[in-house]
Amino acid sequence: MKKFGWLFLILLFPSWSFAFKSIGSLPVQDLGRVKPFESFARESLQLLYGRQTFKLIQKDEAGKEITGKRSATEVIFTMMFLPEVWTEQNVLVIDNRALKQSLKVDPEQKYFTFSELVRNPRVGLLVRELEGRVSRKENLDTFSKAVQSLNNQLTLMNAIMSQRAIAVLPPPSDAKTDRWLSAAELQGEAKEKFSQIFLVAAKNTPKKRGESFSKEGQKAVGAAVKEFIDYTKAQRGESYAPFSEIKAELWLHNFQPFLWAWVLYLLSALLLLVSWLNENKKLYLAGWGFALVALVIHTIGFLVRVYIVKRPPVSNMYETVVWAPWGTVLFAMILEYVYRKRIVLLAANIAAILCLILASLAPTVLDPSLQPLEPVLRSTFWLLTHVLVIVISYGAYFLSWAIGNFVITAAFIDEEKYKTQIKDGALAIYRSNQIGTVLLFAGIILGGVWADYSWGRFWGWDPKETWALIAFLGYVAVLHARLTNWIRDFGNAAASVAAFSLVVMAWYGVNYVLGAGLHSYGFGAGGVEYVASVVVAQLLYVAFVAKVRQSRLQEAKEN
Amino acid sequence: MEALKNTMIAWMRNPFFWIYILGMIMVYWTLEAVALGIRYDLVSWAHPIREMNDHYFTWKRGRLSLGDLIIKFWEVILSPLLIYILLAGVIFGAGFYFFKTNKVARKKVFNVLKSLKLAVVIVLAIALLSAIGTFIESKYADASAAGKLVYHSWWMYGVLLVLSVQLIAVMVDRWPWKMRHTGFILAHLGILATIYGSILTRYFGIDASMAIPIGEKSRHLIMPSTDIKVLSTFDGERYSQLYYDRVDFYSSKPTEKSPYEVKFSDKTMEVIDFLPYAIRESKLVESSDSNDRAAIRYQLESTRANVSKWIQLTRRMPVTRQPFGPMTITLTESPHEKFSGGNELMFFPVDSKKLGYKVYSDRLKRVIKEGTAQVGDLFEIGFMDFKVRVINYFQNSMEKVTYREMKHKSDLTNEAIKVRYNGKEQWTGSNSLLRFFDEDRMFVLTYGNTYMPIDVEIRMLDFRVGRYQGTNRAATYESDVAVNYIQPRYVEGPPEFSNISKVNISMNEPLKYANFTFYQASFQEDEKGQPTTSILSVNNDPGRFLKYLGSLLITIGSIWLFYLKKWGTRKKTLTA
Repeated sequence: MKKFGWLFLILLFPSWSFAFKSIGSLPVQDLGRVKPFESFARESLQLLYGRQTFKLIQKDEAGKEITGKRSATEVIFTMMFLPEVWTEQNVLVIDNRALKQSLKVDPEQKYFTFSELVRNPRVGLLVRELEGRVSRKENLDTFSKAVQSLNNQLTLMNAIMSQRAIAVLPPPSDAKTDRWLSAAELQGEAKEKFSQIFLVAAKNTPKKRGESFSKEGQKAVGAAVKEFIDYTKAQRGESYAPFSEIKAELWLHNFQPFLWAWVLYLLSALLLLVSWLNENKKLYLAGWGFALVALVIHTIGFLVRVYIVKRPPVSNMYETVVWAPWGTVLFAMILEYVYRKRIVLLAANIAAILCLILASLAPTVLDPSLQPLEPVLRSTFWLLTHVLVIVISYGAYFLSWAIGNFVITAAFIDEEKYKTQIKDGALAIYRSNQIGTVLLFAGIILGGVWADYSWGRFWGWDPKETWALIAFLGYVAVLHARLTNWIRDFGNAAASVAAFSLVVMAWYGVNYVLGAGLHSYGFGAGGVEYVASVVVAQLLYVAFVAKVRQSRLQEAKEN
Repeated sequence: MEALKNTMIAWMRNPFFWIYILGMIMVYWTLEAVALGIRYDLVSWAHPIREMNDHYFTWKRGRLSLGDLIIKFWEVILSPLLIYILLAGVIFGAGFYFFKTNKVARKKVFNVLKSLKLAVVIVLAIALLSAIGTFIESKYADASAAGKLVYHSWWMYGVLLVLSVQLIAVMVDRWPWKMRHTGFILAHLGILATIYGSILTRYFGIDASMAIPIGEKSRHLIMPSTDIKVLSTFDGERYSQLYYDRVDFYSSKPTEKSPYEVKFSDKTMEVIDFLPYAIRESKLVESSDSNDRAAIRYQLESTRANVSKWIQLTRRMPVTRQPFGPMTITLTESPHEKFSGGNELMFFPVDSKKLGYKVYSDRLKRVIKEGTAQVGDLFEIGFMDFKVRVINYFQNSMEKVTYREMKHKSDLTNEAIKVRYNGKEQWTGSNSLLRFFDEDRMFVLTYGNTYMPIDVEIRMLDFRVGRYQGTNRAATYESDVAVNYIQPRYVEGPPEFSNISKVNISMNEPLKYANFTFYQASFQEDEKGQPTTSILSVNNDPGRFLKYLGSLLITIGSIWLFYLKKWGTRKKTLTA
């Protein structure tokens, strides 16, 4: 590839992302499934760079700094063919300050080049130390995890640059393994056809800045990709890859249904807020309309994910964070339809927006990539019933949490003025707590039945199930306390908001804080300090309002 | 006909009828559970395990006499039951007497018990205890620690007892029951049934595992409980068991001051320390016992290699050979040991300081070099460009095993106990052996999981791991097994269950056979990633039915309570 060295020039030009559209649809085998190249590229760039688009900063001939965006497909594909260009780009992200200090690099710098890290003698030492820890099965602290992720970044980038990471050709039908051949292992015609894709793209690259990739050029690249796919089809059979699923996955990347869903939820929330304040019927109906459209898009997004991986979409944190608000909105619509209190759907919209933004905000914490299932989860029926029911019950509690915050805020501002709103809200809270409690109990029992069926243990005090039980008991206490008149409308709202921290612990905390037990498939790391501070702030807010309200009541009594 | 229908309806409406039915179900499953306990005690007695899991040795077990059997039943089943019944009788009797004579106090206590506030407090207490348990599990990465410290502690049992009393009290308080109470009664009876089912599971259920190497068979369960055994042998082949006890060192830790004493014949061994999470570390040290044999550590240097290794002789092995590329390195007791054929460097002890060596060349078919060496000496062996240095040499060596305490459990940690016998202290890990030598016999002490023989023998025909395409990530595990029923000797007649020549057990698809359910749990693999052993989890849960029934009642009850309450009340107004 030396003779195309001049191609480093492409970095100076406006993105040729669109030329890579067709390359993005190339089927590759990665992490146990066949996916479009674009998914592989996005996941790889996410790991290397921490984002799914690359921001290129270059100096032009005049020394002026120019920036441009590069798509993941473009970055990863050119990385395969022009490693010497990419080793000098700031493409590897390091966030951990302690690690940067230990590497003796500028702790303010965020991105580093491959060659500077490989040359850094401290990297090898740290990696060896980490390997020792891993072999001794020690618990890894944040620093070690940072070293681990740096090691993964370097390994992955190396594998991409040597073309070993990209498996493009299925093995012959008589082969013992089902591992696809990587681009580096291709031979003969296959190798030629694969390299052709890059050569065609390179040939059609505009030679001057400001020129864009020509239509013909795009077509030529598309044709080269198609030729490789056709060749593979001829060699390995028409259906060597799930082409319609790949199309669906590309649609998911391009359309971003969950993004649209939260935008529409936001519109709906604004309309409902206005209609709530000035009792406008038309705006109320419009709010309903937007919420419905959003829910439909939300549902379609889900169904597409289900279609791609052929299983219920609730096997990791990201998927549950996207699924729970679906339940919140659904229950809110039912309650709203029955009671017409406006505030219910409004609160649900806000909860849904929060969840969906959170899901798109932190892909390292909430991993949106589609992963194969752990063996024990490979039972669609049980996964469907147990997990869907549990997570949707969290959705119902989410609703009561959102309404609860409205109610306590209203009580904080003026309890007399918003008397009816508070009463309405408290009723809706009670109802959604009931829905949540019945569903959570059913979910826990279904989990017990599954565990009994699959492991012979109805109840094993596993942290995940224990925390689900604790959350359930918390809400049972709230429901009983309301029954005794221990707490009334305000107390019910405050207690529901507080009890939601139990759900947060069961939902997020067990996987990210405790990290123990049999439900290990959803374990992850990150965001603990943020989630903890949000929970603490929420509890403080509840305590503060309760205190203020109590002293007001005291005053009223004294007067 | 009409009369019958009316009687039926009257029965159905009578809550006592339903409570009676529920009570009968509870009694039935209790008897079933006790019968199961007795059955497996009998199987253990009639068909003791003759082979340990590592096939290391077999032993003869003394026959149990009828007297032993009675004592065993007393220990295992009757005495705990009697103690519970007595305890319950005393508490309830005293309470009954107290309340019978003191009506004000009765009312007061009853008012506290039936109050919803107490219910909320109990619910929160259970939640709090469970939460503590999850943090303990996370800290020690050990589910059984959380179980012993929290979930099965007296705290938890106490709270559950108060809950049960409270549930009964609130139901009594609603008396006479109306139609509108249905949901409430069902939900609360459901909780009682579930708690009772859990008690049956806890005391009579079996939740064990079976590790079966591929191609081999097994008929014993590895139980979660631990026991300590002492065996003795005169000839190294036949063993007899001198001591057996079920122990729980985690809950009652033996210490220097209050050791756990193992007494048999006229000897006493003491367990003086226990580590729940420890990593085994062993090194060779000089021994004062002249029966112990030699060990050396050598360093082999050449332009291509530089390694150092230990080589040791034991009482059972007077010669040890280590293959090392083009040659073999041998340590032998006798300087006249024959060469094995290839290139060979042979070491043999001369005295406590000096070590003899000979080098045999395969090409020349003769000894090309011989001499003596001491610790620190570096010499060429005349083969390729190898140089050898003796780093350590003990004429009498022994392995000194220590256990390093870890903060939490991991795949590498093991439980360890420290045993003192005749003033000598030694560490041993769970599921391994500790040997003590007397003048004429050897004692073997083992501490480890209880092995329970069952009447089912499983042969592991095949085990497969399905992996996700192109990766090492396991997607499915499955075992093909043959099942052989061993009719207990005390049961007459034809076998109760028929043998199965081949059946598949996979994740989420267990095998139910002869009171047990066999689940695919996990597997072990060798260094190359080839599976060697399939691990099944084996289970019998006499509380299952009650737990399911209870869960069902709670579900129906709470749905009724939340959504059908109006229906109940309307019905009541109609009948009223």
